[in-house]
Amino acid sequence: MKKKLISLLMTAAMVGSMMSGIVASASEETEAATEAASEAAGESTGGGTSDSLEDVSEPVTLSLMVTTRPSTDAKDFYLDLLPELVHERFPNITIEVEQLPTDQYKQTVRLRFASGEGPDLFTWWAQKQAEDLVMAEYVRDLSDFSLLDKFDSTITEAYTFDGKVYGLPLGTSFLTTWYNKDMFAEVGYDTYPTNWDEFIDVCQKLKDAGYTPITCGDNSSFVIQFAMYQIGASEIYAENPDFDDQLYTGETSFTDQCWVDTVTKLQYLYDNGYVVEDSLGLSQDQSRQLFIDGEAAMIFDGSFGYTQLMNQGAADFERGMFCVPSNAEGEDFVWNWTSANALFTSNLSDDLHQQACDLVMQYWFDEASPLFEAWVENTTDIIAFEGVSDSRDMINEYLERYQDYQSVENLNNAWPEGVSDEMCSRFQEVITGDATPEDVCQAMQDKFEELAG
Amino acid sequence: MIDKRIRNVLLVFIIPALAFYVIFWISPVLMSFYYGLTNWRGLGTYDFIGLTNYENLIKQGTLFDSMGNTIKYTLFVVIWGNVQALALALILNMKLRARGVFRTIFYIPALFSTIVVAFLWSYVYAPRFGMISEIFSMLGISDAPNLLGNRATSLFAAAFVETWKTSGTMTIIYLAGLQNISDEVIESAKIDGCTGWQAIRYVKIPMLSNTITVNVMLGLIGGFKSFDYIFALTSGGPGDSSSTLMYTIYKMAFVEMQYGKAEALAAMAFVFILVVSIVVLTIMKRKELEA
Repeated sequence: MKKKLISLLMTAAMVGSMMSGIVASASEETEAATEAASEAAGESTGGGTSDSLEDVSEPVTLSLMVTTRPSTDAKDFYLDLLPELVHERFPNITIEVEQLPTDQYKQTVRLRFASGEGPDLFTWWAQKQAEDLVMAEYVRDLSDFSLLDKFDSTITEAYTFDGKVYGLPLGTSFLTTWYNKDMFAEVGYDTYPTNWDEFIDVCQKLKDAGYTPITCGDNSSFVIQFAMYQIGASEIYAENPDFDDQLYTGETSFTDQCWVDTVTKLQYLYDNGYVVEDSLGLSQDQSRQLFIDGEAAMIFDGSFGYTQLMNQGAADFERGMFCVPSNAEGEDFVWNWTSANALFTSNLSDDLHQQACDLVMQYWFDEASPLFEAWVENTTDIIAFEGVSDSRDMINEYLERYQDYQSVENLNNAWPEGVSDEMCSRFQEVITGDATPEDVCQAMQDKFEELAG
Repeated sequence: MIDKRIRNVLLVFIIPALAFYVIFWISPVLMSFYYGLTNWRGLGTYDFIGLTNYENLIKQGTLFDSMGNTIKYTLFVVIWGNVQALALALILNMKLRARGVFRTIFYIPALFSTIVVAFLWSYVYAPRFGMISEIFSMLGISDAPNLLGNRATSLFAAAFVETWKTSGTMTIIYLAGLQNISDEVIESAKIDGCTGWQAIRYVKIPMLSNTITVNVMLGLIGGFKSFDYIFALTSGGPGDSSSTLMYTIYKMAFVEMQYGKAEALAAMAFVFILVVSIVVLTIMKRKELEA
């Protein structure tokens, strides 16, 4: 009996341990730490050029956290070049870099701040995604940073809360549709479509010619956003650019007709066989491979896919990019863009660490410094910094189109985290025929109300 | 008999380990029950909201959907995993040429990391150019099943990968059990007229009851913990068709930042897993005694 009891208790303990591994506990020391750091962060982040900067008075180790990015044979900017160049210039400053995949990254950074020990420097996302960190006073106000004016103010706006700038934007990116220009030319399209009818027409012609018009790795459910936001840009924001703000006041809802139409248009591409068959079994990487191998004419992706999508596959063809035109002929064609991550600094670090962070930032964004040069050469984002243009012709050509069209920042940046995941999960059910566009929109609205409340 | 004083001294040595266990394992579990009653979002302050999280999980169907998927996943892992491992163990226990080589080969999947295994199988399952697709096309069948992209099969496709990965370990355990059965017992069964199958059914399997308990419990724990293959192969999809309890807890806490609600689900999962584990363990122990 005793043995049995012990074995039952052991079972309970084992199960309990298992559960505790999934959801970590939090520290309640946060507020005190935040207050202390707020007091310590009184100094301005201004300064001159990096030549005149003096090293910190004693050795200090800064923690830098970044998300995991595709590795290459070359030296990585964050893992190799940044720590090396900073240490070379400021021997007292050592940077320890930690990188994690996105989900774990978000979780780790938040938990570290919650336990009073956030990273000194870290990259983070814009708008709603940064709001909780700002509101909890975990991140420093960088409004006084001397080189702030050098950053594109439109992008900086995405990191501005109550008139204060909290992040230094590391660039921009955009969602786009990559296409095979050779296949398009073969079906009579020398340029990209500029309205929905033309887009459907080119899909149909490609299909009739025996090509798979579009590939999509829907097994990696997040890629569903790539098409949805491109369609939504014209469908939703052409008439109401304030749609997202109004979600919070109740003036608009995801169940509004414009959202139902957005989802319906994406569904139309699947229902008519324009999207690769069995897309739910394909991962994003596998889908990209189909595109570069010339097995599909288009792929919904982004500027961030440049390196992978420009790789040589089984077929040799010229690539192009366009935003999905969901507008009717003659109506506004809205293009999307998004701010890439920005650099944030911790409000919880002590004076010495904050001083070291300031030195690193001033050195990093001084156009004459080797660190700035290394950043410009190695980043995969489109840098939005005065006097710097992208070295990739395709990207520059694409950016020029923004002068002709209205543009909107990525839709999900204004929503609570979780709404976009709900959208993707439910749209997978649309693909399998188990849900309707109305179901997707209702689920998004329900999730929005649950998370924004 | 250890002297009482020595026993007390020995007990003192347990304190550091016990303190470690209580601080880092037991107290987080207890705290998670508390957070399940709050609307904590991972940062900042929170309010005590009673049983609202529990109500929502039941009302929204999240609890039963994810629990249902976990049960299906676990049943598959336990049943198929054991059948497969037992069959392999019986074969590898036979007097085969190069038996050692075969045993090594079948153990290899256990050596790979979960991520490597999931990556590998994502290409086995991939439509159009995956291994299954290629086999079907070699057989002249153009319509290969899209196992990960189908709501009816995605959960089992992920569970199958788990059984493939754990087959080596379970087989080794069965092999050890089989080697404990003395040749005399098998020989006397044969003298009594047992056929090969009857010897397995009525002699070997009953004598493996302890081993079966171990493997069933391993399968049960693996099934209830099911997260990594779901995360890497299906992301809980299509829709929520392969969202298990652990994956749902993860998504709720780390994607939606609903820590309080995730803690509530974790608490319910804890009770559920505890009850099932106790019931299964009790049944298995009783069966062992009967055997």
